[in-house]
Formats: sequence, C-alpha cells, structure tokens
Amino acid sequence: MNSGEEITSDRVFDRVSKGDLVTDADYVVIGTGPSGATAARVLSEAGYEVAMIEEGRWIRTDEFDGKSFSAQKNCFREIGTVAAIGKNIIPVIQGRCVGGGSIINSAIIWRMPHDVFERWTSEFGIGDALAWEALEAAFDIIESDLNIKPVSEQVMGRNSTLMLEGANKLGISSRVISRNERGCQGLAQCLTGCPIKAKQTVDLNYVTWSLEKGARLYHSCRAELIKVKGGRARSVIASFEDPLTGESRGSLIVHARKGIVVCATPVQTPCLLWRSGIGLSSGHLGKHFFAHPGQALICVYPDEVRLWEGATQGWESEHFRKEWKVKFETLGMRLDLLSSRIPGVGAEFKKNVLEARYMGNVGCAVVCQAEGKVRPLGKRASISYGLGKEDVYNLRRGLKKIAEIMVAAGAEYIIPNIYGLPPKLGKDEINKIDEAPLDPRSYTMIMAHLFGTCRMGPDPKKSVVGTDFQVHDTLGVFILDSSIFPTNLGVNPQHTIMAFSHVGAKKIAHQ
Amino acid sequence: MKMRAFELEWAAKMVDAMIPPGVEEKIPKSASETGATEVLREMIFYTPALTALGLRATIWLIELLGPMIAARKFSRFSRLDPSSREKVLDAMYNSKSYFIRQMVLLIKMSSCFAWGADPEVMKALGVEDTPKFVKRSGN
Repeated sequence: MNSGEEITSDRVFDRVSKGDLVTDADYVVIGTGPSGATAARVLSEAGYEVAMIEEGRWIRTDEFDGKSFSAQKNCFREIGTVAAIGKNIIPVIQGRCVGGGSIINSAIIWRMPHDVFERWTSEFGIGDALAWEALEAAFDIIESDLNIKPVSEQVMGRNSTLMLEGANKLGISSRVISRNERGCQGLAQCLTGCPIKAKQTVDLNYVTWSLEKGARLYHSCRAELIKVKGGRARSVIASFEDPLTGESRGSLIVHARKGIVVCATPVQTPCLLWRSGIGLSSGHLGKHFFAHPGQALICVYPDEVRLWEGATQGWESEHFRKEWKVKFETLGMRLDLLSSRIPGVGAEFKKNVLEARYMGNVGCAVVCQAEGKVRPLGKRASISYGLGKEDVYNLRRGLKKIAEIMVAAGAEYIIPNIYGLPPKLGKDEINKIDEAPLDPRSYTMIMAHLFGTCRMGPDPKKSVVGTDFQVHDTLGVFILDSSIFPTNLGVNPQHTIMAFSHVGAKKIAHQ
Repeated sequence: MKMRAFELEWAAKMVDAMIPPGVEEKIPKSASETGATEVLREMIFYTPALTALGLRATIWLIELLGPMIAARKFSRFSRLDPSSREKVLDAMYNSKSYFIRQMVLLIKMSSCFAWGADPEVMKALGVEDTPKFVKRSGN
C-alpha cells in the first residue's frame, strides 16, 4: 500500500455516505506530515490504536505530472496562495496532503545543529524534554528508515556541480546535500511530487507502516475542534470535505481514550487550539512565529546548465549560518517555475527566456530574527510577519556572496530579481548588490520552514506546551510538530521535526 | 468564486501582454494559447473567498486603472492595442509601488505556469521529460 494507490483499504476513509461517523481510538493524530506520520508510527508500533486525520488528500503517484500548477492544486494549502503579511507579502509554502511537506520539499536532511540545541536548553529548558543522546538515537533510526544518503554524482546536476566548484575556489565550505531518497533519477521534480517514488516521503513509509500496524487514516478530513471535558481532551470533531472544492462529505467524531496528538504545522496547530479554547492561558499561543524566508539568485553561464535536470537540490553551504544567519542551497526547477523568475514583460521576456537552459539558480535562506504571530481567521489563518532591517541586510549579503560563488564558477551575469537594481548585473557589477535597498518590498521571497506559535518550556506562564509535550492547561493534548520549537532552527527542519516527534511519541507511549 | 466571461477576456489580454504571440521564431505561442487564462480562472475558483477577491480585484484594477497608473492614459486596458498593453504592463512591472508590482507578478506567475509547462514551448527551449544523463545510463 503506498501513495494512495490502495485507498480502498478498509482502514482508509475519505468520506461517510450518510450521517456522522463516530469512532474511537487510543490516540488521535492530527496531520500526516513528517511529525504526524512519525508520531503515528511510534504509537502504533507501541501497540496503541491510532486514528490519523489529514485535511488533504492522498495523492496517487500518477497524479504527479511535474507541472507546478497541478501540484499547487493537489498538494498545496490554498493552491499555494497562503502568505505572511507584513511590510511585504511572503508566500508560505505548506503541503496539504497525506505526507504533508515531505511530498513537496526537496528531501533535504539535516541533523539539528548542536549549538541550537544548547541554546534551546539553556534559554528555554528544552533539555528537560529530551536529551541530546535521545535525539541522536532518533536521527539514526530515521536515517535508516528513510535511506538517507548524499546526492550521487550521476544525478547531481550541473547547477550543483558548478556551485561546488565555485565555493571550493573561494575557500567557502559547502557540501553535497544528503536526502531521503531511493533511486533518484534527477528529474528535478521534488517540488511537484516525485513521479517515481524515489523521494522517501512519509506516506510511503511511516503512514503506510502505521496502517499495517492497525492504524486508521481519515483523509480529506479537516479537524475542526478538540472537545475538552473536565480539563481533559476527549474527542476530535472533524469534517470530510473535498480539499479543492470544499464540498462536504460528512462529519467525523473520534473519541480519544488516551490523548490527542496535534501535528498540524505552526500555522494550523495554534488555530485549532485557539478554536478549541486550549493553550490560551499562557498568553503565548500563536506568538513567536519564526521562519526561514529566502530568495533565489539566477545567473547565466556560458554553457548549458539545464536546471530541470539533476537533483532538485544538490549543493548547500552553511558556511555563514552562525555569523550571517544565512544558508545557501542550489535549487533546480522546471521551466514553468523558472520562467516566472526570468525578468521582463512581453518581447523582452521572450528574449530573456531563450537563455533558460544556461541559467543556474541558488537560494539564500535567512535565519530571521523577526517574530510573527498566527491567529485564526474563520477557517483559515492569518500570519503577521515583518522582516527587520538586520534580516534584510543578512539576505542581501548572502545574495552577494552567492553571486561571488556563481562568478567564481564561471557565470557571465547575474539576474538579481531585486527592485532597485538593474535586471542583469555583469560579473564585474556584482558589488552593486551591496547598494540594494534594505526594504523587504524590494525582494521576492518565499518561506517554507516554519517554527514556533506553541512554544515548549517548563514555565506555564512563558510557554504553551510543557516538557512532557503536553499543553500546560489541558490534559491529553500533545503537540509534536515544529510549533513547539522556541526559535528557528537554521537548517532544513524535516529531520529535526521527525526526531522531536519520535522522542515525544515514545514519551507519550510510555506514560 | 466564478469569473465572468468578460473578466476572462480581460485576463486573456493581460496574459498575452505578458507573453505575446510571435516575437521569437522558436517560441511563437502566447500565454493564452497555452491555457494561462484557465490557470487564473482556476486560481480564483478554488482559492478561499478572501484570496479570490484579491485576485479578481487585481484583474479589475489592471483593466480599469492600469493605463492610467502606468501611462496616464484614459483608456481601458483591453481596449489598447497589443503593443500599448505590453508597455502598460511593463511600466507596472517596474512601478515604484510594491502593490502594483505584485499585481503584475500575479499575471506573470499565472502566465508562466501554463506557458512554461506547454510541451511545444518546453521542447523549443530544450526541456525534455527525461534528463539526458538518465537516458545515457539506460535507467
């Protein structure tokens, strides 16, 4: 059973034909992304009866056609139109399907940096929740389960190879990215769903393994409310609906005998708690929203690069993570995504796009100091988030450094996509990036790594979730996604999210 | 939210100002010929009401105020000749106003989603479904 092919299983439901479906389970897990799938796997392996609820659909592999708009309709929340609003508008990329973000990310695997763990322990008391050794043990298990390995030379792609060469020339430390994949062919389609099941998305393993252990999956099913009685969470009220059209397909009520595990992301988790009247007592619910917004820089090389060939992301550098708060990653993509980043309108655009096959593309993710907040807005969420000048300054100097590496790798010119700069900068003009405005509205950013909003800590006055992963003010509600992270992480978060969930679910299972 | 026929006609002229027919021999197709108007229609149809309203308002603003904002011309966008429409969109694309630039970015994104995924365009620009190195290795 994998990737939705066998959705006829008697443990997988996406609708009720008549009335309400009322059922029960030991644990209800809300969300089937990396954190939810991990929690479901650990709890079902521990012998508990688990019910998984997922708002999105279980997408069949043959639906991954490599087209960005198809992927946005099938796998992205609100067709990719979710945005964080501050001085500028930053699209927030969120998966909404069985497998969650793992379906549309580039499978990048990073163990949590030890310096971040130390900070979380000394400043936020996270060490009370989990020991470094426990995290490392979880990393080992996940890496074995998901077949983590560096991108092979064969599928590295020219974009990544060139950046590796450029960084080496400048003495900047960088490396080949490690990913969860088995048999990658370098189709550069990670962002639109892997059409050959090479990316080891969590629906292929942890969700499927949970089902094999007896768990049930309710997909296309939106958790509306957690019902609390006598200070303890008792049940989840949910609605089956078509994720695209919103067409109603009945209601679901699951009574939780032992607990409810919320893994719905730092945007949806606080909204669900808010609507349920849970976690409000600290005054911190929905606050301390952190992210890694980023922008990519395009360059043009003298020879073909073909961004649509090779691993979507094959090269990375965290050389400047601690000092400048930035991380660099190559980013391959298909023409439908790339072309929207190519400058010009009309005839000018058509002229520029002829050079598409010579283009390289590298992203700069910023470990932003900015803190935002998330609030429910009807059935949706409102995300307020404003970048500070220091964050934009870090982005700007990160982009400049990427331009330097590109030039060292042989790039002839750079396409900065920064308002206030010329559309193209010759290799001798990249110093002009230093003159780019520090106004976030001059940049075209996106954000995909989200943290906070239900932060963890021992003090109920300063945090929403305790070090036992349980919401301070309500028994039986556990949060295992990156909502509990007290700050941003600085590296790609899937692995750390899964490891936290693994350790947290083990704790819950042994209660 | 359902777009009306006249709004779809406006949208078609906008996406074709972004990616016009002809110009380059290798890539003669325009955005609307590759389904870009349909992308906009579906976006507005499937996104939540508030977002859809914003997207729809963008089309109305470009149609009614675009020429005025960009070129001080009292005309509707759809009534301009193709070359003037392109100039208006270009001026908006480079506008000092962030929100005006964002409006044009929406048109560009929708256009590229369809145009950049069109098999003929992809072939003309050297995009193949299977990477060369996969073919070489016989995988």
